[in-house]
Amino acid sequence: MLFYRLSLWVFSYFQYNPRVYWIFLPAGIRMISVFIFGWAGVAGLFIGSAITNEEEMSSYVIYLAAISALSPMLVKRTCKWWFNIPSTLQGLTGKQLLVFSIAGAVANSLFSSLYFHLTDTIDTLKSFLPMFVGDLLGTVIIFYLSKAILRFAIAIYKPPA
Amino acid sequence: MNTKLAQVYIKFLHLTKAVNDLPQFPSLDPMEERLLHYFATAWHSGKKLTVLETMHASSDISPSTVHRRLKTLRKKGLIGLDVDQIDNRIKYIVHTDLTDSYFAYLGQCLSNASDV
Repeated sequence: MLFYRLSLWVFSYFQYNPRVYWIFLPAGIRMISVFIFGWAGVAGLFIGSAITNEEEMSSYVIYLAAISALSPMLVKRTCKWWFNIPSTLQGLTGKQLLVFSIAGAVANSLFSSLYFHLTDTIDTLKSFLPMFVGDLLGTVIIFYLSKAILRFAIAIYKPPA
Repeated sequence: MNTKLAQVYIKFLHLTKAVNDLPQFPSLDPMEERLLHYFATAWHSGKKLTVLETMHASSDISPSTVHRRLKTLRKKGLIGLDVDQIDNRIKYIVHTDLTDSYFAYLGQCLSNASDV
C-alpha cells in the first residue's frame, strides 16, 4: 500500500484522470507478485486493489479489484502456455518478460476499459490508451529498476575467488 | 523442507535471471554487428572512416546494403555522423556514448565468462 501511495504521489504529474496514470508503477508489482506467488499473489493483489481504491466498498470496487488481480494471472498462464515455460519459470528470458509486460498492459487496460464502458463511468476509448501506456511503462520501469539494483548488488558483493 | 516455499524461491531465482537478461541495447542483426566491429577496430587504430569508404569496404556486401545498415545503426544511436570541416559532402562515422557502453558491456561479458 505504501508503495502504491508513494508511486502515485511521485508520478502525480502523469495523472490522466482519477483512475488512470500515464506511468503506473504498481502494474510492475502485479506481474512480479503473480510470477512468484501465483494464486496467493492474485489474492494479495485483489485485497490491495480493493483497499487502495478511494471509493467506498461496493460491487464496482470489487469488480475493478478482481480485474486488476486476475488479468496478470490470465496473461501469465497464456504466455507460459505459448512459450512453453514450466511453473518454476526455468528458461524464462528477458525478451519473454517484455512480451509478458505488453500482454499484461493490453489485458488490464482492455478489461478495465470494457468494465468502464459497461458501467458508463469513464470514456472507454479515451481511457484505454493512457491506461495501456501507464501499465506498460510502469512494468518496464520496475523490471529495469530491478535489473539495475541487481547489477549494483552484484558489483558491491563479489564472492571471494 | 517446505516444498511450497522452495518453489517460491526457485521461481524468484528464475525471475531474477530473466530480469538480468533484459535487453539493454538495441538488438542488432548480424550485418550491423559486423559493421560495428569493423568500425571498432578502425576507431581503435585512430583511423577516420567516411561513409563512402565504408560502403565500398567489403567486396561481399553491396554498397546499398551497407548504406541501409548505416542508417539503422544511426537510428539506434550506435553511430553518429560528423561532417568534414572543409568538404561538407564528406561524412565521418563516429562512435557515440551508446557505442562505448555497448563495447564496455561486451568486454564485461567476456571478463565474466573468463572468471567462470
